[in-house]
Amino acid sequence: MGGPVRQTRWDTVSRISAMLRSPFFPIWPATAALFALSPAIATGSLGGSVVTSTLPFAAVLAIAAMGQTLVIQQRGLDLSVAGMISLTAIIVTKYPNGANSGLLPAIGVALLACVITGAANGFAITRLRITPLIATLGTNALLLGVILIITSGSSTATPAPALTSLGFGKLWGIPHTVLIALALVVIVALAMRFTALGRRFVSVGTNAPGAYVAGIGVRRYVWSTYIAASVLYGIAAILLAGYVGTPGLSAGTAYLLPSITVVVLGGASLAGGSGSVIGSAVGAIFLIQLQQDVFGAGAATSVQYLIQAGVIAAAMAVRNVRWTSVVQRLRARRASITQGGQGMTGTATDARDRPVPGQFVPALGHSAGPQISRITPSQPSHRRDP
Amino acid sequence: MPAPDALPQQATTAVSPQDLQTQASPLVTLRLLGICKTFGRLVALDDVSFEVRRGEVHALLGENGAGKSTLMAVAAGAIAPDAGTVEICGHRLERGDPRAAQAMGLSVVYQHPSVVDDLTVAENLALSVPKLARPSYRGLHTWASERLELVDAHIDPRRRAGELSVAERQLLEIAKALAADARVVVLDEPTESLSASESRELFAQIERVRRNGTSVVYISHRLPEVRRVAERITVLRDGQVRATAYAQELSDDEVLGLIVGRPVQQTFPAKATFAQPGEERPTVLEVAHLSGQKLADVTFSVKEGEIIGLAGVEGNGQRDAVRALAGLVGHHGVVRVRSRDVDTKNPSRARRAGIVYVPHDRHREGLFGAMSVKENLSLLVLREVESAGVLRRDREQAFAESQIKAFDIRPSRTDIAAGNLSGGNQQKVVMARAIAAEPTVLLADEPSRGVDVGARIEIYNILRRVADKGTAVVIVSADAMELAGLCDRVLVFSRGQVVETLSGDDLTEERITGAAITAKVERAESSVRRQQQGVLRRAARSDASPSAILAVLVIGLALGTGVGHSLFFGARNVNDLLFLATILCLGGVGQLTVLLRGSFDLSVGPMMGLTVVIMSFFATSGSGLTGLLVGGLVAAAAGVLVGVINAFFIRNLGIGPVISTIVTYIGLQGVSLLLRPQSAGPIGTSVINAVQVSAAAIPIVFLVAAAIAVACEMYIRRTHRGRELRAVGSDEQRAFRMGAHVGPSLFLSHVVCSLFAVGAGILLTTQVGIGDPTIGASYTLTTLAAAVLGGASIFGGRGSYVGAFLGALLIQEAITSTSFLGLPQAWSEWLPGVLILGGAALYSRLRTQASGDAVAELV
Repeated sequence: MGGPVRQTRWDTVSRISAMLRSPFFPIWPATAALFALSPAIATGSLGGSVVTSTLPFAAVLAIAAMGQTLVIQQRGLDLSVAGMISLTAIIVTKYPNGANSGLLPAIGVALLACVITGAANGFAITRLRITPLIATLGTNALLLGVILIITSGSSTATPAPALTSLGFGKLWGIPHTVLIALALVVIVALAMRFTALGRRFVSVGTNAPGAYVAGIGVRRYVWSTYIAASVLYGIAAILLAGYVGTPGLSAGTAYLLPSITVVVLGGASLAGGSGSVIGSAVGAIFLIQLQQDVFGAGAATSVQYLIQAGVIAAAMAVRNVRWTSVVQRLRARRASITQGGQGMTGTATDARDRPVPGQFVPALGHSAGPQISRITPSQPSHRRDP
Repeated sequence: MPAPDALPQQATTAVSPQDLQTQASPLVTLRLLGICKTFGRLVALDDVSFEVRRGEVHALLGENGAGKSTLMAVAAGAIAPDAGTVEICGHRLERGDPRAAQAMGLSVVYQHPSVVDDLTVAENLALSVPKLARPSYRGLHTWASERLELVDAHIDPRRRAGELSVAERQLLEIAKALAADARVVVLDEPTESLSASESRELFAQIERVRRNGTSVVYISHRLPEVRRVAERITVLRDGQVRATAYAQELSDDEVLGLIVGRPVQQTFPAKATFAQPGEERPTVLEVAHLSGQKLADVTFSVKEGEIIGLAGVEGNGQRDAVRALAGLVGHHGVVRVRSRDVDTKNPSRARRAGIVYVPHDRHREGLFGAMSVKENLSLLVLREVESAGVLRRDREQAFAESQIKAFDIRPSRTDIAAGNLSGGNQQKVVMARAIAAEPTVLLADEPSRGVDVGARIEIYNILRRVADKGTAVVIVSADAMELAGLCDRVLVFSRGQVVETLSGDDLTEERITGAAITAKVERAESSVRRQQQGVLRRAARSDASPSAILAVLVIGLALGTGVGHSLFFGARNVNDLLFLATILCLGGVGQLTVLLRGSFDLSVGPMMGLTVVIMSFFATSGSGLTGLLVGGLVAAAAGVLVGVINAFFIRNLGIGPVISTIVTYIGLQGVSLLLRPQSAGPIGTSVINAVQVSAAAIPIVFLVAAAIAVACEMYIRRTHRGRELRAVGSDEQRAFRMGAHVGPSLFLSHVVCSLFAVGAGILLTTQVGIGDPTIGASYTLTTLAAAVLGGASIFGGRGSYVGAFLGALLIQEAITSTSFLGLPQAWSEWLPGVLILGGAALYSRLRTQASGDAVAELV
């Protein structure tokens, strides 16, 4: 009997089609295409030395974006990433004062500062009930003050040699930063997928009320998320410090919007719930390589910005268009044109597929459910997704 | 129309669609003809025709899901029917236009009040009436009080609607409908949360408007009420009209028969057999004196092997009882599981006590739609499929497969997203998960909601099997037939109390429905009417309170700094401080405009930067004031374009506001750098002098900005359009139903925001003195901070222009005073940071209300 055989074939086919439809998928072909086009856009943008000089930046961004991914998965947004990266980079370059012996304590202090900030974010969000955006905006301002205190307003540092070698060193021809980023991505991705903790974390992000009803300590998970994210920002900053040596007072500001952008490019939704650290990491490679290409092509910073804006807008717009509904609507229009009038043909499609606010759908058993959930992202969720 | 069985149909004067068509009398105010509507595969309305005469109270009866609410949503233009026509007072309603329906004279009081939470009671009322009936701002509160008096609602019109109790909202809804002077008023279960005297007042009110010739459609479950108010009755069942008749022509039994009908015979599993004499089973669950917001002294117990049903008209406490046991609703009283007192303060404690809850709102509280079937199934038993914290895939897979087999979940695949299953299979996943947790007490809230007949029977069998194994099973259901067929004992709730316990031969569908709808229990007055709020408390919650706090802080900080440092009040410092503050004020006021609309703009800073660049081309040293004007106009045009682009991304491309404005943020920086790769183009001195002119140490622009802020404040408080903007920002759906312009307000607010940024940019230009392409971006977050400090909610609908203005002023003042006070420079960051956190925490504390439902209070 062909039963089992058909079953497997169906399995493979459906698994592949599910993968293709996953929001985390498009960034892969996009990145691949970008790399394929790179030599054409800018000769030399794909050379070995360029890759090794580009990848460390992608690695730092990927680690920071990983933290942001965790936060966004819990329906938050973390603006204090800027302050934490700046602060950590300054602490680990300034305090060792060129001596390797001081590096480890400095790293310890820096990471402790990150943990405290993360805990403060968690406290402000879960206990004081401040929206994540505002809470992290506030803690970020506090961090900037701390930076001014410890630097007295100017950045002078003699990085410890060990830190520099961490930033520039290679193992088997691969920069340390890249290896560390890779390891972290793998660890976090595996923890998400294969541990009970990760499973509960995902469930809280997917459906916090559901997780609460199921007896999971939702607040505790939200709190821990901000702490974990902060530690990741700290690690990103240490690697950055190793690479740039003397970080400026606002080194982290350059990571604020990119860390959010990369998460979205990677397939996560700012409305929360879904997220993939691997997708975000690939998104980081995409963004840095895009910068590299445009830069390599000799374009000015201005053109860089414009191309970046265009690519992000295009990526988002393409992702948000519901192709099936476009096809249906086109068909409906053609049908109504051939009928020589506008009948009710397009009505049902219009009403259901376009997320028009006010399209009021009553709760009527299960069939109304998916419609409601499809409509909501564009309205109440902007309330959750400022 | 299929004949409704052997029921006394003869006695009714059933109206066929043909009758309705021919009988085109002007006396008919609402006419629905041949309405059909399906949702997916569910047929909600099947060729329904319905008419209401002038000055008539027409009751619409039917079970939950019979199609009553959908029919009225069609009449109100909130839902477009698939077929059929709607006529209101002789005018044909084009599809899906609530504003038009309102204008034609139809007003709906929804069962779930659709008042906009962030607006005050008076504003809600004013928003819902047609243009001509709107009161002037001066008379607003008196007018609102009069409208409220009409329904005997003693509600302060200045209170925020979000703070009202359910009963008060219901009264407000009714007052809204009556204030609109509608020709047809639809009341959807209006008395569900009213006390007896409030209900009496409502009936008197209905009688009054009826005598004035208004038609009333009265949707209700409660027969005694219907008898009291309605002239004619129409019964809907399964989306079809079963009968339309004069109320006195039908007996209660006949009406019940029409409502319940005789659908497909369902087979229920055999009931527990322990009722035999001599067999005493141990009690598993004991509940004593359970009380809470909607519960009054509920006591019951469940024995091993027993299935208990909780019945009642929706919202009478039956659901709250199981949610209290599940740890989701605040309560007090005694809960014992297997003779041990247990604490059900929160769900995880309830679970530790062996209580597992299957929620009624599967999509929100039950299913993790984006997660796989396997992940959904194993969530409560992760401990059993892990070792040392690592999930054992083989064990989990085996577990999931065994559950899929046991519950016959189809398709029998573990890896597909649970959200892609059919409703019945989703429900089976949720049930399987709960049962796999091996509960001592299983609480199933609407276990068969949205499930087709086949799966329904399976679910009944599953529940019975679980009970047979010794688990105490408690079910809440709106389906009386289901309760009668499945349960061993049914408790009927009314107004939070158990009014009837049915078992054995008494346990019939008719008895359950009868007990629920004839119950005469009146809601205790005290539980409904809450104490009047103190004046102070109300003031603290108003949108103006942040402004008052900020004003005190602004003055306090100025005095505190100025006492020791007289230069602080020196003309030069005051002038500089106020000019810098004005830049931030304009930015903050712009940001507030989009926040009020429920949107967000990160591109405010770069827009200011672009303005600086544009000005550097026009307002050069030789250009004089013409350059200022031309440059300003070009920048304004750019601002309009940017606002439109932002709104277009958000509304037409469906990209969220954050990413949309990140895109323009980056793009604007690119444009600035394109125009000025390096700082260049010194600004003419005449321009700088013109912009920075001041009177008695106070910059003129500061005064202008303050005047603009006050004018905007008055606009959003006192005009209809301003209220509409806040209403849409607060809740797009509800505002749309109230007839607000949803799309235009988004475009308008983004354009206005960008124009404010242009204004701020022009001031910044004179401060910088040269076309610096990188300036401006850092202002974005500060404008946000200013708006939030002024009391704006980033969820929209709330905020104050004066507040945002003062917030910006305070931030600038804090930065300036740190240098005067000799504080380290860090304080110029700390002070704003502490202000933001403190302000946000304080406002959030003032605003949150204990709703009693833990899930609703989750972050």
